[in-house]
Amino acid sequence: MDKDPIELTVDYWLTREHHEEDRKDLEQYRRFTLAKIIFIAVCLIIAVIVSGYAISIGEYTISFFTTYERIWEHITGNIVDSTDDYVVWELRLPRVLGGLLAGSALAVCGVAMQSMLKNPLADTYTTGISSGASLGATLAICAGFTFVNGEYGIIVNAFLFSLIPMMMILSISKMNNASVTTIIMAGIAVMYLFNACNTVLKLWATDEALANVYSWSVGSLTGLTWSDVAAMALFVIPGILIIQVISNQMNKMMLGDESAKALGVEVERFRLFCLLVTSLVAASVVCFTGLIGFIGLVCPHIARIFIGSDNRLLIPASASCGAALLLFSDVVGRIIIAPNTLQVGVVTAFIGGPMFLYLIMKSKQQRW
Amino acid sequence: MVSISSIVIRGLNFSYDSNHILHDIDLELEGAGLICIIGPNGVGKSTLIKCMNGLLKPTSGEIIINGTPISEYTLKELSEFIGYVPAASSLSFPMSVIDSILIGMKQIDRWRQDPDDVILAYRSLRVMRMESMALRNCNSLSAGQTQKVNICRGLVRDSEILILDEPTSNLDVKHQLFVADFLQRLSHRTGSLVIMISHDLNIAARFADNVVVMKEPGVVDSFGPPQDIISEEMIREVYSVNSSIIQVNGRPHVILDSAENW
Repeated sequence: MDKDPIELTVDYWLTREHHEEDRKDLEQYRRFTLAKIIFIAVCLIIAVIVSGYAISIGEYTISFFTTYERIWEHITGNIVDSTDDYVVWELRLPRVLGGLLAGSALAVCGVAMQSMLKNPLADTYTTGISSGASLGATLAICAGFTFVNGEYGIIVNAFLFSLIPMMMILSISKMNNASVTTIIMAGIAVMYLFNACNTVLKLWATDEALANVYSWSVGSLTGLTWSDVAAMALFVIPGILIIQVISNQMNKMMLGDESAKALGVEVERFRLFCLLVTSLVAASVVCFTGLIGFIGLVCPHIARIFIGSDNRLLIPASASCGAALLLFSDVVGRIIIAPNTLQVGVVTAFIGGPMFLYLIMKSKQQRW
Repeated sequence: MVSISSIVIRGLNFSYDSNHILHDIDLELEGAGLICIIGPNGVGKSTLIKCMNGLLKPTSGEIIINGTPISEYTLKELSEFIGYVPAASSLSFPMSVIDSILIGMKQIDRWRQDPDDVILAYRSLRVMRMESMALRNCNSLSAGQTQKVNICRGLVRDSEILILDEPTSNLDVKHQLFVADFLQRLSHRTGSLVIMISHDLNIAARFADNVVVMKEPGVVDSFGPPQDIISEEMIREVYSVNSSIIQVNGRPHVILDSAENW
């Protein structure tokens, strides 16, 4: 007996035995995923190559390939050339590792905030974290107000103050049922408020303090030490791992609060948790490097253009893209006006800006 | 899916701040079948279904799902057996159609994509005749195509209860007929309870096993099989629209005439 087409469709949907076309579908999906993994691999390779180059340049030159040998020798405890080893391991590697950590952390924070707030403009600036850190640093430099004395005064200040906007945003959004737009608007309001405080502080600052505040506000990897890198890593590495682990729920959040709830995500609690983790990670980077703009906003979008927005792959992709772009910018900043150094924050904007504009214009379909 | 699903609502009231939306709703939905909720705009149809799947917490009254009050379930537990297709969904970011379906699935493995999930997602697209769009960007789809993808996202959950908010509103007539017919047959074959809001009286009349009619100011006017419920008087009372009803294959068919007032 002939069945009508709708009955056949129900049959097709309900019988779960495999068809020939399933194999083709799976094959198509695997190729599609492979392309994404290739993007991640390319970014990682670029990061490794740029790292080697970054270590090799400077007043004391070491050849590109030798740098990898020296690192390997140090790890295996078989040091041949102690001068090389000192330059590579003590002087240059902290800066490079710090750059890799900072780049990946800022990019991952960008992804997490964008997915969480369903807003492509969300990053450490629009949520007020950067301006909070900035105010903390300015207070330390201009007014001498610090929570702890000594060399870490500025850093601790920046860290603690960067948490204030987050707490304000969270309490405002709790009162208001945590709509996404509320959070972004609260973040921007806090940003303006803190920037105004900053400006007021700078009115009475000495020239020296102003120069100091300036160099902090453009961001730089100069002077990072092993202990800085270790402190940064303490927050950054677990933070990125946590964000990766919750990437599935983050995907559901992108469908909107209602859909996410219907898929079993406790939306408000989850958003709180994510904001807390991303703030800690972002603050731990910003307080050591100063304000490095653009990485957090742009790297996630560059990665989205290539691999789409599935957070499970987007997070590693943005992390590797951020690490590569930040380190590359640092190298460019060091060689372009040598012997002077152009701060990395400026270079990221100079490289990232046009690159991003090009990608937006090149992509024909509407993406956002 | 052998168990019989049931949603029992007793004395349900719901208010947004001072705005009283739902008034003393009593309803018992049980067993397999397609249930259509019809009624004028703003009468609380979406609010009612959002109370049923735990998205909104009732101001008073109780909702009992499969014998247990809804407040005793976590959102995660509810999501295990209630699927939900919202009226509209938008992704703020570029994502392929297939990935957007996969993120709605019950992923057990965190790191690896289960091939069976991928196959099921593709199959749902085939059901909706959308398989050629699998790798397209969601944001480049038309409203109707987006709606079909939303329905796919509901189908792949294989849930005992599926709730859809106006799943046919952006679809052309052929797709409207297909979706309603498919959902009805699916519910009978699997024993699942499918609840959908519809504005098309004839879709409801033709495919629903039971119809819930809601009217101002947020009450249930009547509940029962369309043959008993859909009448000229009901349409005049609920919508203030004159109509005549003819019988087609034992089901009422509404021919709308004119609005009584505006």
